[in-house]
Amino acid sequence: MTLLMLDHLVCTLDGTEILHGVNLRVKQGEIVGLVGESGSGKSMTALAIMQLLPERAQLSGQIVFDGRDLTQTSEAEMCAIRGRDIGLIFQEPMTALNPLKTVADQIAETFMLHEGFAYANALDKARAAMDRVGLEDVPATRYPHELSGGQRQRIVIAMAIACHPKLIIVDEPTSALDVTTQAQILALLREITRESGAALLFISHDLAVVASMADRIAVMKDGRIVEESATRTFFGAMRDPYARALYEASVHRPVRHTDTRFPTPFFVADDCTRLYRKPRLFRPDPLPVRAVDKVSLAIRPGESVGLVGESGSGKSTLARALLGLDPLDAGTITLDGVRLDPTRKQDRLLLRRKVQMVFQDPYSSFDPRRTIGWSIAEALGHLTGPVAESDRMQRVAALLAQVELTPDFAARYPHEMSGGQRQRAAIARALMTDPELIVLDEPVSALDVSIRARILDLLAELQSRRAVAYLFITHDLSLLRAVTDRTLVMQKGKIVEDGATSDLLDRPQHAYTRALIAASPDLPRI
Amino acid sequence: MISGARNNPALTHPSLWIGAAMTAYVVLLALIALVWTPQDPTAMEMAKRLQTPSAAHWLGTDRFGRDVLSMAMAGAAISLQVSFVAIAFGMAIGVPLGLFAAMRGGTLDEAVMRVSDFIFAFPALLTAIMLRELFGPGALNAMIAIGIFNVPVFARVTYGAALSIKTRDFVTASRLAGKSEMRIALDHVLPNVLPLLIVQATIQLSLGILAEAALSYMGLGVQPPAPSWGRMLNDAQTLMVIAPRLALVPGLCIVFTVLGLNLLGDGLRDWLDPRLRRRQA
Repeated sequence: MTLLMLDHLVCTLDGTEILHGVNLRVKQGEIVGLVGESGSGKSMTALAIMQLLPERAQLSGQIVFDGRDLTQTSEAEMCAIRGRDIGLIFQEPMTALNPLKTVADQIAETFMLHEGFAYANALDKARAAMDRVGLEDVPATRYPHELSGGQRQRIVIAMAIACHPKLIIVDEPTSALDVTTQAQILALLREITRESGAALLFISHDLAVVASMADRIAVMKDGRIVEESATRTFFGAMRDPYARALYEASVHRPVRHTDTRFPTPFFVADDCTRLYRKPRLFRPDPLPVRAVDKVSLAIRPGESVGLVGESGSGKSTLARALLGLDPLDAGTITLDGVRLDPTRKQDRLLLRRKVQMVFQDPYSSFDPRRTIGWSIAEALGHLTGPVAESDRMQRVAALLAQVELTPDFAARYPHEMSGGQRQRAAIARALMTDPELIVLDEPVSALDVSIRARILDLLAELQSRRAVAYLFITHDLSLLRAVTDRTLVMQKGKIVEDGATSDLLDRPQHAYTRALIAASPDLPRI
Repeated sequence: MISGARNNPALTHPSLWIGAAMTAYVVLLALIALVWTPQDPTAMEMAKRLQTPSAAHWLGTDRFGRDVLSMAMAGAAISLQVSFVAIAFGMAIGVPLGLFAAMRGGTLDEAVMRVSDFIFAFPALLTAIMLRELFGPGALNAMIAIGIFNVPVFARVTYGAALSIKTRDFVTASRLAGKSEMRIALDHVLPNVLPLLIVQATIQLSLGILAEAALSYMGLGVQPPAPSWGRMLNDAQTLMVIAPRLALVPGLCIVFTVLGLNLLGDGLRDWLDPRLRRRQA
């Protein structure tokens, strides 16, 4: 039986039509995945169902839920439906929870509001709900900030399922979480829907995650659903060119030419240790955490090395230490046979000429008050000798051309560019000093999947042209297979496994590597 | 820095242009007063004492027969001068201190910020009285007294904002480009903190006007015969019943100026902040 039916849903915001006649059905107990890139209208659709669109939005068409048209329902009635009949789970659990109330109080509130429980009873129910979502060990008196991201998301799920809703809408529930936590949360959602018979509308940008969850997949683009079919047959029967492109971009592997002419490593780090001390005024923290613990690695020219691990495993700390941004507590860095001491300015400058970085978030990697050209040219005169103004412009234009941007981008400000364009500019900036190694910290995880494929192509092409080595920091295993020759797996500050990427992913040795691989959703090959 | 606005600020932020207009009016009057006032604000004419408003004296005269309008205009010039110089002094010392502390971090950072807490904890007026005992009253000492208490304000605003800017990736990118901490502070951190400082300076200016009025009310500010709003209030105190106008004029001048500056500050904050957010987002 159909539980939710969107019939020619059109949404207009400030005179612009955002949804152009969306048709979608969700049956009772069914998991429907809604996939699309940013701006495709998938979150708007969810907000429309909940009647949570901004006041200035205008809706036409029908949203029939459980026999009634929600577009004709008053706000007072919607308040009763939200939370009771339709549960909602957001991407970022921290913003969905009230930081000033204990988690049990927040779950209890749902029971008091919708089912008329007294506080004491509601609290008991909240405890039961917490046990239900696998938080048996978490005291009810905890505040949101005392929990991990995965635990917080479990609390949000407990709130959403508290009143046994008929429909649960989840909007990117795991994109803020680590891959193993993601797998646990997805398993929990699957289990809950199966047990309670609730339907799930699962919204995500990640086709692999959706394929692992949904009974049916709908692909959205520019406010329309362009492809929809059962998951079993979806990948074999994609007709819409965009759905195909999305799939191809998701499994995209750039063509790479690995250069093995230089067998000897040029960049060697030995026994690198970085301690994390809590800030203290007079005496040092007696129990520092070993954020990076005796890590050794060697990188050959033109090689692409992956560094994988969950958040908190120390991979970013290691990268900062290798770049000489933070001092090492022990260990050495050798570049082209010369041992460097990053606390000395001369050595640091040498290191920076040869080792550059591209950041994860293209939005914060450029100064909003400087033009892109200014930022790309920043190293000139500091890492190089003095450079004349005209020469400076020429070099910026040449680099922009290398990353397939036109010279006029030099005069633009970051906010005038898309995420993909900014990431290209960030790569251009990293190339300014003609480095031998570029550290790429999750360079594509903030980008839409089609843009991501193009950035990966660009990186592969630059590598074959310039013989630059990459250290690819990521938590995404499918990315590793596509772009790296060799992979290091990091856990709790240590490298636990190291080997050729294909061997390592096909025949993992370490338990942690196996857990990471098991947790990663993968797309079927067609 | 503030150029290139896409939408007209006057339409989207009414408090900005109302505040700007009020402030511009006061500044204009003060500038005129520097070269010309309707009468000599210090000229006493006992024959004309306590006159009601007339064509010759638009706002009447005080108990020494001085022209109230001229005094109010000259007072505006003094008030603005004192508070401008004081705030400039506070910024000139506070901003580099806050920037330096934020960029350096560690023990030095602690030291700078604790000293600024210490100054913050001092009651401003008491210190002003102390300064008078030490150096005698006068406009210069008023400026120094107000200025000193603006140092920690600007140090803290700069420090807090700089700390958050410092964690952004573009600062790391700049370090990777081989720039020194000082260079980064000037190239990236300061320009990004600037909108906040402009807003804070506007608010501090209005507080400076109030402080100057309070100091001269107590006789600690500019000395007679130079006119000032605070002393006009003090003079009018005993004549409240006979000539309330004498207290109303300087009182309203203070209210008008402070209100104008506050509206301007609020408007600037509304106008500059969303732009910053939009650029980042």
